Amino acid sequence: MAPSTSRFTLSGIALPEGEDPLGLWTLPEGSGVSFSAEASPVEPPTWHIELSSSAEEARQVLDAQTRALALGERDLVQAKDALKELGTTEAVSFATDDPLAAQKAALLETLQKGQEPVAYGVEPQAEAEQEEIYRQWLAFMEQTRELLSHYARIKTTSGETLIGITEVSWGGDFKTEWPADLPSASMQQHVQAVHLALGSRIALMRVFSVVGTGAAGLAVKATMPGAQILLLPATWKFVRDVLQELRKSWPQIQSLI
Amino acid sequence: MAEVTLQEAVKKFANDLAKRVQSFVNDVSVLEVRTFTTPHNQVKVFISERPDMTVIANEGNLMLRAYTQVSFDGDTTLCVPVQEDGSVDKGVWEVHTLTVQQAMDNRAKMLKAVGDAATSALGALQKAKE
Repeated sequence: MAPSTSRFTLSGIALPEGEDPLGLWTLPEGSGVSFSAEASPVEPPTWHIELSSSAEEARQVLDAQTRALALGERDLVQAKDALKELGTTEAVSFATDDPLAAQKAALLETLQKGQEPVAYGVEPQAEAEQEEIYRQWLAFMEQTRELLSHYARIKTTSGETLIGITEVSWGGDFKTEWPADLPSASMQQHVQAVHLALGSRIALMRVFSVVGTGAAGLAVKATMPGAQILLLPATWKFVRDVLQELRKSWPQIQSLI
Repeated sequence: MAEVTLQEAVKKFANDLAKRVQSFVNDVSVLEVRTFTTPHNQVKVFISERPDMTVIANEGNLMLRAYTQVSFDGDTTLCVPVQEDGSVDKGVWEVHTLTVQQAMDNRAKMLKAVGDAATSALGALQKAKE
């Protein structure tokens, strides 16, 4: 298949590493540079869906992205279940064919280090990595908060042609603008694009919930007072890495994006 | 030091979400969906990064074609788009009704997601204080 001319871009927020944790949207270059917790977007979060002028290709790519969102949501549930399993007080053993064995082992190692009374001789590289994860988590939390501070704008275009623009307040009021006399098929494309964007916004909120709830379970395991708050960055890293790992097994739908 | 900063950030996040949930409870009485159309000569303006909707609307280049207001108690107000001959503009109406359904679905899911996130953040703070 020829490379798709369709693009799915999310601007107006600066996610850690300039990447969507669910791997659905491309962030503009440079949007992941700032990890400042105080940074606020100049423009509202905008999901821009640029579709091919070929109706068939546009349909395929929208369907592919819809499947990708469903897979991302499924992966998030898997990450949540993995955290729940790790949070039990019983001993955890990993099956050799567990695709998440490396991520689970890394998180448990972090947990064990946190339980040691004094951490001597932490390698500078490891310390720098921890600092980076910590900053990423703060940035993610801030940007998730920002998502709710502005309305969401979803813009669908095909080449130079506008298909539709929808603005959704966080409470759910919709305002949609259409060019006059737009074909029904194009309108359907924008409705599907709005579904994708809003589903992605909710999925980002769920990432936060999964991290927070997962850290709570791990804190019980660690039996450390106040451990939950300290475990948030490590749990964030786990969820991020799990989502990345599970994405590798997705069908070839990413090639369309 | 890091813990304090993290705790403050989580607290800020939780407070903000709690305010959002509170404002939602206050605003839940009405859900509004508006559908506009614009002439083709305004399309390039809309594609630009920051279209000024107020200016476009004031210049008469944005026409409200359909409107739905759903009240919490079930009362619904509809403005149905009609063509010059008085018949319903089925194209606009069809997509407007789809959007209304989408808006109702999104509102329910969004409230749950924000509620879960706020609970999660508040839970983290609670544990930290123990």
